[in-house]
This record gives sequence, structure tokens and C-alpha cells, in this order.
Amino acid sequence: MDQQSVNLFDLQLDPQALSALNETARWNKFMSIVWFVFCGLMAAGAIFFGAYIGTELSGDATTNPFAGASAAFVSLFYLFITAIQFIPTIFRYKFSVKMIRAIRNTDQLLLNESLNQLRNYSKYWGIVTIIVVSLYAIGFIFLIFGLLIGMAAGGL
Amino acid sequence: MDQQTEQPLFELQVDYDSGNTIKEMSKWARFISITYMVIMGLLLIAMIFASTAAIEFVSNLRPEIAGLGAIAFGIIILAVGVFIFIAIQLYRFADMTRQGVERQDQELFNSGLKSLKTYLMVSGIVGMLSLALNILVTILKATGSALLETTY
Repeated sequence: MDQQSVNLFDLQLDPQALSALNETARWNKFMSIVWFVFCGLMAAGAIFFGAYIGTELSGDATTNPFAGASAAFVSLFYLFITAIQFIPTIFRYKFSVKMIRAIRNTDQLLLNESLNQLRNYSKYWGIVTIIVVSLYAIGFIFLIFGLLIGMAAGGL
Repeated sequence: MDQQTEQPLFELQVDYDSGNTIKEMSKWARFISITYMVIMGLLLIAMIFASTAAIEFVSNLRPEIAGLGAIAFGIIILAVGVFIFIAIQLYRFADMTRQGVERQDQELFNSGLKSLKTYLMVSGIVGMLSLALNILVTILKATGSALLETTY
């Protein structure tokens, strides 16, 4: 009876759950570090690739006023892709570090913070999924619209 | 008193805050997993319909590489299978942990956490493999073009 008053919530992180969480966190820490390295490489690649395109197009600068702008656009586009991958990696890394510390020190606050980071990670990918699916849906609508216009023009 | 000394004083538990966090997380995870399963299903259907025509087209165009079309098709089916497995693990995590928290069911909750572990491990490995493959292709392309430039 005393115990029931101590534990309002029956759901405990028993050794089995802790082992799964600990393994998940350790694995995630490794993965997030690898992703950080990849993001760094991608960012460097984006800058160098943009510079390369810029030098390749610089000869056309007199004829093509958008040569410099297109190089900057390429760099910015790849940097944007890198940022999309970099943000969830931060959530993932924070989740792992806090979870490992929470389990080691039996710290409930850290555990909650760690789960919060994992929630942010899921939320982030959920929002990205919504955006990507919406863009595909819009593209599909435009495709059908274009086909219909094409068919109508062909009929005329 | 005896009962309390047998148990650790400060045990990690799913309290009100973490319970809510897990429930919200599972909603997003459920949405992502269902979306991925639908996309993979559509891709699979499209592959089944398009594969015969694509293999026939390749074998007419280049009969010497006709077998490669079937191999490529097999690899794509395998990749789709792996992605469906990942999506199922995510769905299991979302469903089981949510139910575990709501019903205060320790076994369901633990099974959900195991699925989370599998999901993060497999998706991480697949992500790294695809990145490594991309880097390898880029290096091979760069080496190939450099070799061509030195030869001609």
C-alpha cells in the first residue's frame, strides 16, 4: 500500500527497458557523430561545388549575367539540403547523450529531457514528410493540369 | 519499510511528463510510418506494372545487358522490402509504447522500445550505406573523368 502511494505511475523503466534504451542511445550517439561528419563534408562539398560551377561559368559572364547567381544558387541549395539533415542530427545527438547520462545517474529530469529531444526528432521528420508529400502532390496536380492543357492544345 | 529498502529509492519511471512526451512522439512516428508504408506500397505497385515493360525495352535496345534489368529490379524490390521493414518497426514502436503508456502495460512498453532500437539501428545502417555508396560513385566518377582527360 505504501509502495502504491510512492509510485503513482506503474510504468517503470525496468532493466529490460533500460537496456534497450541504453543500446539505442549508444548506437544513436555513434550514428549522429557519423552524420555530423557527413554534414561537414556535404557543406564543404556544397561550397567547393558552387565555386567550381562559378569558375566554369565565369567565361560566360559577359554573355550570361546569371552565371554568378547560378553558382551561388547551387551552393545555397546544397547547403539547404545539408541543414535539413543537420538539424535532426542535433536532436538525435542530444537524445543519446542525455539518455546515457540519465541511465548512468538515474536522473529522471535528464530522462525527460532526453525523451523530449526524441520527440523533437520525430516531430521534425513528420513536418518534413508533410512538406515533401505536399510538394509531390502539388507537382502531380501541375503534371495532370499540364497534360490536360497539352491534350486540349493538340486537339485544337 | 522493508519493501522500500528492497527497491531502489530513485527509480527511473515513465512519469506524467515523459508519458505525454511519449504519446506525442508516437503520434508523429505513427504518421511517418503510415506515410512511408503507403509510399512504398505505391512504389511496389508501380514497379510491378512498369518492370515487365522496362525489362522488355532494355532487352530490345541492348540484348547483351538484358539480364541487368532483372538484377536491377531485384535490387529495387529488396530496397523497398527493407524500407517497409523499417516503417513496420516504427509503427510497432508508436503503437506499442502508446498502448503501454495508456494501459500502464510494462511488457508492451518494453516491446515498443525494442522496436525503436531496431528501427533506429536499421535506418541508420541503411542511411550510412546509401551515403557511402553515393560517395563511392562520386569518387569513381571523378577518377573516371580524370583518367579520360589524361588519356585524351
